[in-house]
Amino acid sequence: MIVELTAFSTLVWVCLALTACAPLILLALWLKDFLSKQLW
Amino acid sequence: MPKTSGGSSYSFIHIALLLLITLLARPALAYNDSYQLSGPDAPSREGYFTLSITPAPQQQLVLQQSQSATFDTIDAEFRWFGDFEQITLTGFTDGEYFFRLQPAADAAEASSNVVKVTVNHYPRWQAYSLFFIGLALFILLVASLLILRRRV
Amino acid sequence: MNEASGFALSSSLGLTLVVLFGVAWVLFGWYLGRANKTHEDFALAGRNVGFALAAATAMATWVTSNTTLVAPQLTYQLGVWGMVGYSFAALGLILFAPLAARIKRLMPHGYTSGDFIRLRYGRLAWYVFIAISVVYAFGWLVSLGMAGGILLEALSGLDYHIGMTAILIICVGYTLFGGLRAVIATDFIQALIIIIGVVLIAWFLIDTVSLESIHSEVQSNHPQLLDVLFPAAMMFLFNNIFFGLGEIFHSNVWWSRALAFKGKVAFKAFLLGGLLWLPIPIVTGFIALAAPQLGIFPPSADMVGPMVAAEVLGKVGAVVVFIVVFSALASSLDSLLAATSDLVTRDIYHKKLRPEASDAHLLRFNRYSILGLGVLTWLLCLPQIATLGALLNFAGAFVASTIFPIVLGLYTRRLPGRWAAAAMFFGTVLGLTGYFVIGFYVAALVSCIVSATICGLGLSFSRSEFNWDDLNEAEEQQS
Repeated sequence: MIVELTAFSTLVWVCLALTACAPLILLALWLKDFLSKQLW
Repeated sequence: MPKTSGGSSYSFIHIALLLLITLLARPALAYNDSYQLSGPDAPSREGYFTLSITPAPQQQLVLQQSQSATFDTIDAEFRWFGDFEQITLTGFTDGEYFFRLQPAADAAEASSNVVKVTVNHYPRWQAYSLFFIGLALFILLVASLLILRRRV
Repeated sequence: MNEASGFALSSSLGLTLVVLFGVAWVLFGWYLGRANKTHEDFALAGRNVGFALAAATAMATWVTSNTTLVAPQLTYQLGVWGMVGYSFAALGLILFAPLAARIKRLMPHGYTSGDFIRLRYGRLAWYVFIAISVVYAFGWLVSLGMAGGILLEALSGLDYHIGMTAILIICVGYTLFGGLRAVIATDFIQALIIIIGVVLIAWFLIDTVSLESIHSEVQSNHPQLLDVLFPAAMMFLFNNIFFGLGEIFHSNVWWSRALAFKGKVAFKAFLLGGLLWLPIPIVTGFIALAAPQLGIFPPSADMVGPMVAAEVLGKVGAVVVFIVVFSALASSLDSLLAATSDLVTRDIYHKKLRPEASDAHLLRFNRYSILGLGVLTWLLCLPQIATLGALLNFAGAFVASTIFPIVLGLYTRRLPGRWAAAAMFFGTVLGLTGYFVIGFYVAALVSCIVSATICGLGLSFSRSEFNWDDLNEAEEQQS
């Protein structure tokens, strides 16, 4: 059973998109904590 | 992250070598040695294996793959990387494969011995049984977590 | 060293970069460390870490140099299953989320995982547990220290000993000044660097060689790599998952974080950290599948990631690889130094040797033990024995034996200490036997099965009931 091109490229693109979102999520959370003085 | 989850070896040594070689990229000398090619002693169970040559390559080499010892048809060619003494090939299905070296510039005669590599993947039953044992244990763990968590 | 060579960076530039990085991080650590008044501040960042920093540190610590290097290696060897299987290590963080919340609730004043084992299971289990923790922590510390030296040497021609010493001094330095606060704050920045770096490499790769051409090349010449039913890959999958679970469930690196996070943050932070980590091994792994398309056949499989990156991005690629791997190394090395020195200070020094030690004394001792661990690691790294890295190959047998004793210890009153000790001991021994007799792909699996069976027997035979209040021992001293 071979992984088809569509499955393969969907997997890679989805993971790349999720990974690329990660810094944005972390920075947004940081900003939220920072503004509400909840960092530490 | 799991450190080395597959009997894998220690990466950085090789990366060090790699970067030294790629970045230094010395010019190839036009020697005409014959090389001693050697393969794994036991059949490969995972479809990947490492071939080695002595001495280290002095010229640009190509590794040829065939299904017959006489190389009637060449099934694939792999560019030998730099002057490393090893190459790792991967993704082979069950079968017998023959390899030999050729200089990159077309020379008719083989410049190394021929090596036979047998690929014999683990039997399906073994793979399935370990997979399902692992799955069962994993389900047991997650189920205990869920049940115990609700109980306390 | 040879200045005129073709290294990506000249050794003086390499050294300058390292010194700049080092000074910045140590100053940052010192700045953050000013808030540390007590031992609790130093070891557990005041037990008040917010969600953003908590999630980032969970993710960044779990991204070690191996995520960036072994993920491509496994993909090259085991194909699509290799990278998908590696990304399942995120389950360790995700499943630790409920445990972290439980730990925080049961032991609001606890310090280490050793504390828990000692109070919950007693002396015998504690000895077995400490042995497992020490083997694991030292194997990891030494391999990270050596990796730092080798990386610097490879990129700039800087002597191995100088590079190794430099990365140890940097990490020891900022951990020494700032404690867990510095570790967590630097982890946040390192997490951003790592993610952006791997996304860049993956993006340029897809742009250069399309996914279509990667797929068609692999399909026609290396079909096994796309096979869903690849036998070796199926066998590797759950063993790897249990290895990861064991690493996280037992290690004080994760326990000290659970205890340091603010009240309700622990659960959310580990869950988000795990979800953010999940796609990373696929992003770093798939680039290995481009190797055949690019005509790259590496001398050994673990080199495939950097080779592809260097081919696609040239010298810039080498520098990006350097920064990403350096950050990944530091984010794990600092955590391990902090968590292991806590274990030494709290479990061995305070609880065994000097129960009457004052808070200021403990804070001082904690700093000495970071320094001591740094020196010991440095000494072990000096000979540059490559085989030390192999120590980590069978660590799976050690750590997987702790999974069930930890879970059951946190949630049931019934499992007694001697059964837990037996579970960890025999799990480790039989796991190691499996590793040497059958193969690497059963070490963690066998260890976990044996340990689970012994725990199951212990639960069914025992009638003892543990009193949860015993986990909150009275502190002998107050500052």
